[in-house]
Amino acid sequence: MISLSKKVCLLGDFAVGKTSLVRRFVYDLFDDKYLSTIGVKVSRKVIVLPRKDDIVELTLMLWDLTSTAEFDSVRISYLRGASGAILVCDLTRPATLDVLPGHLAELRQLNPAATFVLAANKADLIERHELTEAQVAQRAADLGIPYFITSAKTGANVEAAFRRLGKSIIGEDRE
Amino acid sequence: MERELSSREPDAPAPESRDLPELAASSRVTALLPAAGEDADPALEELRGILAAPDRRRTAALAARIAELERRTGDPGELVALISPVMSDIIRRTIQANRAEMIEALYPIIGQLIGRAVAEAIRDLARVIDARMRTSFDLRAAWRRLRGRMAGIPPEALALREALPFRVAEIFLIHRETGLVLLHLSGEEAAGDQADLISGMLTAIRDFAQDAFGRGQEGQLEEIQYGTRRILIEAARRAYLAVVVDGIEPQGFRAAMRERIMAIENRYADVLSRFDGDATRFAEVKPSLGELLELSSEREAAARKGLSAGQRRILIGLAGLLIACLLGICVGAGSALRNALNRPATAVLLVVTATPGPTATPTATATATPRPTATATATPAPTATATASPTASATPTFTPTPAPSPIARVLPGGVNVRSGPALDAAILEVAEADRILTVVGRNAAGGWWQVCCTRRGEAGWVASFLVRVEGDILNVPVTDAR
Repeated sequence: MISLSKKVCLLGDFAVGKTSLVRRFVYDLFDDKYLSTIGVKVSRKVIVLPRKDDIVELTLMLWDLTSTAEFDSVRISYLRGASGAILVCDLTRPATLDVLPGHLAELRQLNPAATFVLAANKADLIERHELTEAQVAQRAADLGIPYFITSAKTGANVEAAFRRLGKSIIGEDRE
Repeated sequence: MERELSSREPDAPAPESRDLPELAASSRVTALLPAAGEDADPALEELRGILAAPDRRRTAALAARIAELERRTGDPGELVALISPVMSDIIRRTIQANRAEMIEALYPIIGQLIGRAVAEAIRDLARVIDARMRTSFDLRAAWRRLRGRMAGIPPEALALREALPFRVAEIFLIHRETGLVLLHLSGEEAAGDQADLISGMLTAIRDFAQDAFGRGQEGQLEEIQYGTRRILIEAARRAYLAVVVDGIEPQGFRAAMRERIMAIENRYADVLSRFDGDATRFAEVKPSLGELLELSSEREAAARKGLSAGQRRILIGLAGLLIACLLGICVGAGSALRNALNRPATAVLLVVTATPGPTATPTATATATPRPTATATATPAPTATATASPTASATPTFTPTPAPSPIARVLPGGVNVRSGPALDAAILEVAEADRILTVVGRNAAGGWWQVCCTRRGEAGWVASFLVRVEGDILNVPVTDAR
């Protein structure tokens, strides 16, 4: 078994559910207050993936970046060294999908080899959806990245999104 | 009104205020009726009973409540349970309102406790110093005395400084760009598996501090303190070392950290610049970083135990030597005395000068003819004559060839050569990448190399993490006290 660690970021607009994705599905040591004090919180997600004839234990160090403007200046430092990111939008707020290309471009500028996954979150709030899956799929296709309709509340597709990002990072992203 | 008052039974408890109007009303009605016994009309008696019933019930209820309160206030346990919910609030408010009075009132109690704790701490410290002074029969103690004399600091003060507690709790080797942990060592038994999370957050905090306080200048977070524990940080270009310590680090600890991180940076430059997330190869540096952990445990152990085995051996050896010398002197003196009684004074002189040890006794017997003994005692001389001519060719092997000065190679991006070891010092020139400068000194606090020379032939200062130093950096002198 090979053990690898990679830095990945969670990017997206305010209140799209980035921290909720982290809180329920990863090992979380630090309090959420760090998001408002230094603009970031680091968590860990370990996934085991097959690669060729071997198995990779991949530790994703997740940097959950707050999207408030006061941390814009330090944002670049936080993104530096990231191998990939989960771009998160909120299905009840179409504007949150529109900002994702900007986030992607920002990280690609620092690391052209970075890989991405789009997570359209809050799938459980069906009655309030203002984005259709077709719209999400179209945007993901435009960006050339896979997408998942997720729910931090029910857990739907969250694990799958992390695994897909992990596969992309270790170069085994053919499903 | 007088009737109303007189109608209440003398022993009846006073009703609570909220019951008063209702109770007064019913009492007023019953008071208008004839008193019991006089013209006892059954109908009126029944009416009286009906009207007085609420009064009687309330009186009974109030009596029961009073009895319950008396029971609870009489039982200390019950009383505490009753008032404790409000006590903390009362104390807090009282302290806020009368801070000075509260301090004055509490000082006799708290002051005693604090005084006892301080006295205990001082006693512990005294025990450590005492143990250190008693076991200070080693080179370090001699060096400390010498250092103290040179610096004008009493050796006791230096001993005190060294006796202050110091312990390395954890060591993190961290990849600077990603914040991923490359190696983690812990001196604590209950170290968790949170090193990667801590190193990530530490990196984020460093980035934040740089952004918030760096204001575009070079510089870095060198230390974080919380309570008595500190995180000492020494950074190179692609990796940094974070050491969690308790107490005050000994002299040279920072330099040891710097030396190690620079060695790691130089050795793994390519791996670090293209770090793929596989930290296993950094296991090779574990012994080197482990020495930092051992430093604190050695110091603790030295403070706790008495004479070490080595110290005991030295003492026994010295004692043996002393005894041998005394024996030699006695024997020598005895034979000298014998000779003095039998021979001229000059012969005695020869014998005395020829007694380097117990082997002198045979020569004393050979002094029947004084001259041969004189040549015999000159046996070491041949080495002196031999060195005179033939060693001329051998001397180059003994003359200490000065080690080449270490060099600083400027890393990509260049470096400012400044007039002093500080970011606000004037920039003498910008040295381009790959330029090689000779290292001639360093600052006491670390982080800066004094190099030579600028294109105008001046010496200047460069930040250590912007150059790669090659050569023996241990002997670089401190040329700036900052």
